[in-house]
Amino acid sequence: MNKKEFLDVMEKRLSMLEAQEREDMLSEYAQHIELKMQSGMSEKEAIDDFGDIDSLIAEILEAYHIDPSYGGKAKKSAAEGIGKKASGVINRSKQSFSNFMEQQKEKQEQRMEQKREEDKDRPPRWKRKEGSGFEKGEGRKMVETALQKILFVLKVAFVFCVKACLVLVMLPAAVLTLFSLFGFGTLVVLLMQGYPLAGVTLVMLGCILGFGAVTLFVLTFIMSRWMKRKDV
Amino acid sequence: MNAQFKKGVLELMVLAAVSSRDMYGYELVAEVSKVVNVKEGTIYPILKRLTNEHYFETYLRESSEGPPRKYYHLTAAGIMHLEETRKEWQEFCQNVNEFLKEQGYE
Repeated sequence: MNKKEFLDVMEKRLSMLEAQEREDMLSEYAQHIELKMQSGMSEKEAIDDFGDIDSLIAEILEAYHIDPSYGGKAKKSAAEGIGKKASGVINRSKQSFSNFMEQQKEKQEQRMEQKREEDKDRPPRWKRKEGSGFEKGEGRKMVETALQKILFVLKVAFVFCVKACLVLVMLPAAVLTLFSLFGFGTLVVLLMQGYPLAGVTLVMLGCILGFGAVTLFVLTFIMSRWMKRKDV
Repeated sequence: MNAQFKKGVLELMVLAAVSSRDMYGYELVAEVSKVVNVKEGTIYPILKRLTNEHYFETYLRESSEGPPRKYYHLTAAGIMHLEETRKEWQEFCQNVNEFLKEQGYE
């Protein structure tokens, strides 16, 4: 196997990886082979040093947390020619899988970007003594504290709005609870006097329980928010 | 040497090697394979994985011969990870050695 064949096989077997990742990997191996050849090895020797290509590819896929049998299976079924339909399905699933990987990677990158920004603000311990690091970041810091203030105001406004909505829900429910309590009492008295009102009384009891539950539920919500803020 | 045995240790060795100075792939492989008998290709997936986990950063630097080389640099997260794995490894070694001693192997 020469270098080109080796890289071709690799490219084919790593087809489910993102193009960028695959390129990265291939260029590393290409360079490795080149450097080996520079140190006086023949092309064949350099490639033989990698050992079995199947186990090498399995190891690469493992680093991406991909089941090594996945690539093999896809390749095998394509080779056996189960039919255009089957390979189409495989290709599509491959594609959606790589899309998924891409999305995950993007998300992770965003997270890392955020983390890095944070790290910049908090220089590591061994850098804290150097004054220069701080001076550089000062302008950005001011912008960021302003941003934080705006965010805080927005947050408070949001919490206030939510609470206002909750109160608006709670008040009618509380009023209705009181009314149904009153109605229930009246109906019980009338029932005792012999009026055929058993059904309506039960309905009233249901109303008390229902509205009461809503009132209490919303109330606990408001109270818990209030208590949390007190803790902070 | 047992392949499973090697896998865990290689990560630690790669981290430690890069912690002393930034290195490119081939250099790393050469360095590590001086001590442990590894197949040449197996280091690259480890490097890739550690890079994806943000323990390494990479950058390209021109070389006097051939194309630019990709250097690996240990990040702050990498330094912490190295410290953790190193401690784990040392504790593990100590425990195993003690066990062997208890069983009468010196």
